[in-house]
Amino acid sequence: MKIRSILAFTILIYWFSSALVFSDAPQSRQILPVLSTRESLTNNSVRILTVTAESYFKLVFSSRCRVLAYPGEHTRIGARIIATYDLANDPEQKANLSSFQQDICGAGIVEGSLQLIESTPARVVIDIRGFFGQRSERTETEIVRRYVIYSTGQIYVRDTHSATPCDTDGVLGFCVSGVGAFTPADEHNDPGPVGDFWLNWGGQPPINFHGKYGKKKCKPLLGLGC
Amino acid sequence: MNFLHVLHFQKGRAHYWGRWLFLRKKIFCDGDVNFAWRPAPAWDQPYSQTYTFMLQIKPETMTDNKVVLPYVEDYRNPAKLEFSHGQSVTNHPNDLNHDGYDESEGCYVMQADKNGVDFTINGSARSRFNPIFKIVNWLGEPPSFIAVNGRQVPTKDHFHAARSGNDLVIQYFGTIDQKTDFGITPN
Repeated sequence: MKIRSILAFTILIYWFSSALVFSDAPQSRQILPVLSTRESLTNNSVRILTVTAESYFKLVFSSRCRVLAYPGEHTRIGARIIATYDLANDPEQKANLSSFQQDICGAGIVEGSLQLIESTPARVVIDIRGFFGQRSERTETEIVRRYVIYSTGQIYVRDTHSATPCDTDGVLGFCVSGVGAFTPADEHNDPGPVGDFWLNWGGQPPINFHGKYGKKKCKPLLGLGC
Repeated sequence: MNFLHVLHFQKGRAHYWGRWLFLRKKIFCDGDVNFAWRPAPAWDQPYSQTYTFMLQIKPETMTDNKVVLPYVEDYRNPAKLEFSHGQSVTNHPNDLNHDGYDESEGCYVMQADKNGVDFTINGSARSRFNPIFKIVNWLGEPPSFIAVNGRQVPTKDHFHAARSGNDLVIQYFGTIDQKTDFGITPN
């Protein structure tokens, strides 16, 4: 049992330190200011062209959810991204942008992504829900993460983990990458804080990775599946 | 990209500032707070944990703790607002320590009376950066003007207002570093 624990721990350390974990770099995208033009004529027929750089918001978000399960054990994993964005004079806009789930065995990743391009939002609220386990057997573990992003570049995050007694071994983690432009363009059409971001908070420690389950006889295999 | 990461009032309270580096597709960060290695919960007990934190994008000017700490203090020690109209809401579900500040959305939560809300925020002890106010159960459209120290200031340049469900969310653009009065009334 001790050797098995050491082996499992070593594998886990390797797993976390390897490029297998969230290995995608955020995509770099060109962000352009939103321009509007208006033409008008004066009384002496001089044409005036007015170009206005509007404030805008562009956010590209992706989330990945990863789970490592024992071979021979089918586990449901999923990630769901829901975003709402509040416009200055419009009712709250909602976009249910992606929803994924799949059954995996071994190790697997599910991915979701969203892209919002809107002008003058007050803030964007993004909920990401990840889960693994088997709901039918009430062994599902869940992480709910909420991002509230304001136009000044302040981001507030709430991270709630909940778990039921679980007979599924695994690691559940999130990473989020994206490109954001948050503030009104200035006189040079410089959009202000813009840049790639790449956030990774790992997620939960391996649950029930203690060999307490008499029925479990197999070892995790890195990415090999069944 | 630089960012400031401030954990709120949980155990292991920590903040750091640094730059994510991409090196051969591996991720490193100075002063990382690794949530993945918290003690595992009891294996046979249901549990729930909630963490809140603030990220501040692109703080290139944050070159040392002297610059960083005011942001940390602002988030961890929200101001106590003094109301002449309306009142603070301390039982909002997202207000984890019932002080009238929603840690997960970074906003002060309040309830208007028939005249809206009028309150004073004191930034003399701790600066308040782009403070956000959420007025629950707001009736009507977002205001085009709000009063700051008695002066009417227009939206876009000075603040951003939007409905969020039944609530009104207002973010003031600026740093409050003295006693400042805000008046928000329906249009």
